[in-house]
This record gives sequence, structure tokens and C-alpha cells, in this order.
Amino acid sequence: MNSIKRYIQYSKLGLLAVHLLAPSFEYTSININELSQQPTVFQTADQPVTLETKRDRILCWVTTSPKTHSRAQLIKDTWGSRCDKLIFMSSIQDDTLPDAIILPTVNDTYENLWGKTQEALKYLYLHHLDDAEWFYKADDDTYAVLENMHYLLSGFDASTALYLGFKYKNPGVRQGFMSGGSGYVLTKEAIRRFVEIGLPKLNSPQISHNVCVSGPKGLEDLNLGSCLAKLNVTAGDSRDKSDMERFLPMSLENMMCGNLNCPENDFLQQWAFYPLKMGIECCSPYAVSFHYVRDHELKIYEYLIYGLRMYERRNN
Amino acid sequence: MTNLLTTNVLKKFQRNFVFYTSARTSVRGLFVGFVLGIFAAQLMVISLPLQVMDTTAIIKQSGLIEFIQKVEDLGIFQEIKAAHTGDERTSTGPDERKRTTRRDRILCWVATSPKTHSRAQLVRETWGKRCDKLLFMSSKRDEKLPDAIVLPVNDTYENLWGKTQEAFRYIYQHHLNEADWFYKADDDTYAVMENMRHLLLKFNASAPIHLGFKYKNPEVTQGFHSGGPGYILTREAVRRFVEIGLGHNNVTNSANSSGSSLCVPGHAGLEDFNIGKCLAKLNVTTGDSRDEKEMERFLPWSLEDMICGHLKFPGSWFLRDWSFYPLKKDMECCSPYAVSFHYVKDYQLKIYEYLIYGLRLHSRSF
Repeated sequence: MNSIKRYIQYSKLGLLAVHLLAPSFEYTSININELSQQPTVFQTADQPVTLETKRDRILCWVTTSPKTHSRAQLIKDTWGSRCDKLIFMSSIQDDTLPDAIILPTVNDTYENLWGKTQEALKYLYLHHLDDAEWFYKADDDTYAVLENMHYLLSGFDASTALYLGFKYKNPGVRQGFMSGGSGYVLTKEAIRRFVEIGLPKLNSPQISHNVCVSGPKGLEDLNLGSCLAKLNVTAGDSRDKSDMERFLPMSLENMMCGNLNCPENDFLQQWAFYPLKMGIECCSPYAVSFHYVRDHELKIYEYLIYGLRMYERRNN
Repeated sequence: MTNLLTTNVLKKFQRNFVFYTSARTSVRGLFVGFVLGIFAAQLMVISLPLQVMDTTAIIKQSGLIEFIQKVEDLGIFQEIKAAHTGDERTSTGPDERKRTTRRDRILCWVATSPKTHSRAQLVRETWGKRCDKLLFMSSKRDEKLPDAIVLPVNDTYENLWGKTQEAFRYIYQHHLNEADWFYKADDDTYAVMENMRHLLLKFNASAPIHLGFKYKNPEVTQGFHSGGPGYILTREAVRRFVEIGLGHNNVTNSANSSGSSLCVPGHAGLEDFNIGKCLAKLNVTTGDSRDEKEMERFLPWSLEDMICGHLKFPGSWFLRDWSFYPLKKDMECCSPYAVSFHYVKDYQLKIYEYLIYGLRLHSRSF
């Protein structure tokens, strides 16, 4: 009896010994190469795994104007280099921006932004429709985080007629429209419909009812949104799993204003499509774009987001 | 001779062993245990490739958190904070790993004033909470900052030197043994405490040293540290400053005092220059706080000026003309392991908090 007990005790001891030794050799015998041949994985610490096999391309087009061509160079030096293709739309080429795409016959003023957008989309349709699956429009005071954008877009079907951004509500557009400031992303199909169907009717003199608002004037984001809605292009929901916004239309300072008196926030609170939190909860940890990031601030964001690193203790 | 000795020892050992155990069953038992253990471990390894996708299941099954850490080490899972964490795993050798077990305490004291108590509150909500102890030195208490330590100084920019003296005197009297390092900051400073702790591991906390962004000056050969991003003193440095430099034991260094003290008397003057000069006389050394690539960790001007100053100020520029070590341009100005930023005012503190600690990057794992 005693010897059986002893037998069991020692076998437990043996088991324990192996368990203690195991971490040092057992797990390092995983074949790394085998694992890397698995389909690529987006993984977060507390989210289930999603598998994704191909990588959609993003074409970024940035609207700029001669007065702010210097910002374009800063964008090239910072987040612009992470786009699969980067195009600047302006009204002239100069030494600061020799490769600007000049859009035809548009007076480069704020009032004519809608005209500029139409021309830009037409240009993309004619020359770049096959260069990407997604088309992201930004201003020259926008800072985009492309990795997070890829992650966001991987959850949508690029072959559908869809566009994403920060959604405003509007009585004239039931599905809402995307803010131009923080930028929006269109699928190929969305652009095709806009240029092939929306634009011709817009410019036709015999039009009985406008599909899209004609002429170059007007709020470009509202007009585009209303047009796309009529063309059955869906306005998607780009918030994260905690319902926090990923496209941020106001400066971070305004969005985090919290309990201080920020007049811009009333507008935002009133017209945001989804209920908006203020303060530190406003903005998703997986934010995709920031607005009103001007000139040298672009480099500050670049440093704080990509440059700065942190040493952390493993066992706090 | 030795043979006889060893055989005797062995015999004795054998006798005892046999006396207390029955050799055969215990050895067999051990053996069976080993085999079972190895078998069980192999089972886990074989089933691994299928289950590696679902880490929560693995954690539940095996209960081994260290395993997950190892898999993360292999770079398969790639969610990282915007400030990319865990760099120590690529650059630590066995010595560093030993050193990371030491955890020095840091006391942060923030120089503020009634007009900017709201900033102090923001500091408390953002980086201040990561200090082991946080003190606000002001000239008045109010609802915005009810726990401010009131110093007997005229709260003006000209009297900052007086404020610094009184602050260190207060810390010497009440908190000297509560920390190993004493960090002074302004209320428009943003500090990254994790990187600060890592920096301090390179230095000896019991030595008389101080760290910060070093300026050169003809009167102070070893340089002095800028007050903006803040500077850090060891306990010994604080002790020498208050006991000897300010003449704590004898006469106080007040505006009316004529007692002998090593530091500049009175309250007026550039506080960072004056403390630097004084500490030099007390043989408190200025350390080099730059990183391995000689990039600065304490950043005395706004990030915009640090990165683009060479374009904004092509002619003469104080920072470039007076920095102790050669200043680098553009993104090289600033270490990836930066410890503190200056001129981060009001809500910008929250923006830095969001961009450094909140924002995450989803990157693909190839």
C-alpha cells in the first residue's frame, strides 16, 4: 500500500519536474515558418481573430491650393508615403509642388469646392480607377493613420457601392453624408456611379430633376453625400466596436474639450449622425484621420504616433 | 586515499537512502512521471498550430501566460500602442533584464501658480498620475488645486529661483525618504514616465547627479539643465543642495540673509541656471541623458521648434547656439525614447495623452 502511494507521489513529482522544465524547451520547438504561412492575421489583445488574405489598395488624393503647397510636401514626408498611391489636386504647378494635378476650369476658391470635387472624381475615374480598391479624399490639413484605415476597410466589401467617413445627419439626406474635412473613402463602384450617372445628368441642360446639384458652388461634402445617396451608394458606419468615431472632423483639441466651453462642439453634437461623446471618449483608439493638423503639426503627429516609443515593464 | 573516502561516503549515503526509501518504487515512479509529463507536453505542442489563432482558448487550457508573452515576442500578434511597447525585448541582454527588476521611486513636483491651476489639474489627470508621488508647488490654494503646497514666495516669473529653493527645501523637510529621484516640471510639461524610469536605470540613484536637457555656459563647465522639460535630482543631490547650498542648517537663503551660502542669494534669477551653477559647486555631476544614438530625451522647446527649428530659425537660435551637445535636425532632434516635452499647454496635455497612450496602430503581420 505504502509503495503504491510512494509510486504515485514520485510520478507526480516527475510530472511537475517536466512542467517546470517545459517552458524552456517545449514551446520554442514551434515551427515559426509554418505559422507564417497561415493567412495573415489582424489581431488585437481582446478581440477575436479575423482572417484576411488580400490587401486592398488605397489611393489618397489631397486637395490643396497654391497658398498651401508647402503642406503638400509635409504630407509627402509624413503619412502620405503610406498610401499606395498619392495624388495632389491643385490649380497650378509650382516649384513647391511640381507634380500637382491641375483640374480644369475651376476657380480655386472655397466656394468652388464642389466643382473641384466633381473634377477630381472625374479625373480619378479617367486615369486611376484601376490603381486601387479604395479612394480616400483628404485636405492638406489632414493627418491620416493608414494602418488603421486598412484595418477599418478590411471589414467592408470593396466591390460594393459604399463610402465611409464622419457622418453628419441632414434633413435632405436620410442616410447622412460624410464630412469633407476629416476625409472620406469611396469604393471604385461609388466613383463609377458618380461619374457615369451622376455627373452627366448634372451637366445636362434638359434635366428635369437633378440627380446631383449642378454648378461648382455649394458645400462639397453635403452635395456629394446627397448625390451618392440618390445613386444608391451606401453611407457606411465607420465607428469602432465601442461606437467611437474613427474619422475626427474637428481638431483634437476641440474634440477633447470636455467640460470647457467650446462653441464648435455644439454644432458637432447637434449634427453628428451617431451620438457623440466628448472628452477623451470622443476618439477611437483606432482613429483613422485627424483634421486641422497644419503645417509643422503634421510632423509633430508623425513623431508622436510613429516616432515615440515606450519602455514598459513586463510585470508591473 | 580518495577512493576509499568516496566509497565510504557512497556506502553511507546508500545505507541512508535505502533506510528511508524503497529505491525501486520511487525511481520507477519518477520515471513514469517524467514520461507522462513529456507525453502531455507533446500533445499540447502538436495541437498548437490549429489553436494559435484563438489565444483565449489557449490561455484557458494551459493557464500559461508566459506562453502568450512568448508568442507575442515572435511578432505574430501586432497590435501595438502608438508608442510601440516592449522594445526592451529586442534590446535587452541578461544584465539589463536583471536591472529592470529594480524599481526606483520618482517624486514629481510641478511648479504652478494660481493663474494656471487648471493646467495643474490636467497634469494630474494625464502624466502626473504615473509618478510615485506628485506635488504641486504654488503660492495659494484654491478650489481648482486644493492640495497645492503653498510656498513663501512672490509668485512671479522673476522669483522662480526663490520658488525652486523653497520647493526643494520643503521636499527635503517632508519627503526626502519617499523617493530616490526628484523630478521638477512646469505645468506646461508633458512627461513620459515609463521612458523616464528606463533612463534612470542607467544611473546610480545614490550618487550626487542630476539629469535633463543640458545647456552650456561659460560659468558652468559641466553645463546646466533646462527648467522647461524639467530636470531630475538624486536624493543626495537634493540633500547637498538644501543642506550645504542653501545653508539649511545655518542660515536660510532669504532675500535679507547675509549668511554664507554657495548658491546665488535671494529669490530673483534664472532658476535653472542658478541651480545648475550651485549644484556644480556642490560637486553634483550633470549626467548625459541622451539615448544610444545621441538623441535628446528631454525636449526644452515645443515639438514644432525641436523638429522644424532649423527651418524657422536659420540664423542665430538660442537652442542651437547654447545646447551642450550638437543639436540634430528634423526628426532626429528627438529620441524615440523621449522623457519630456515642454510648452504643452492646457488641452494639448490631453492630446499628447491620447496620441501617446490612447491611439493604437493595427499593423499587418506578414
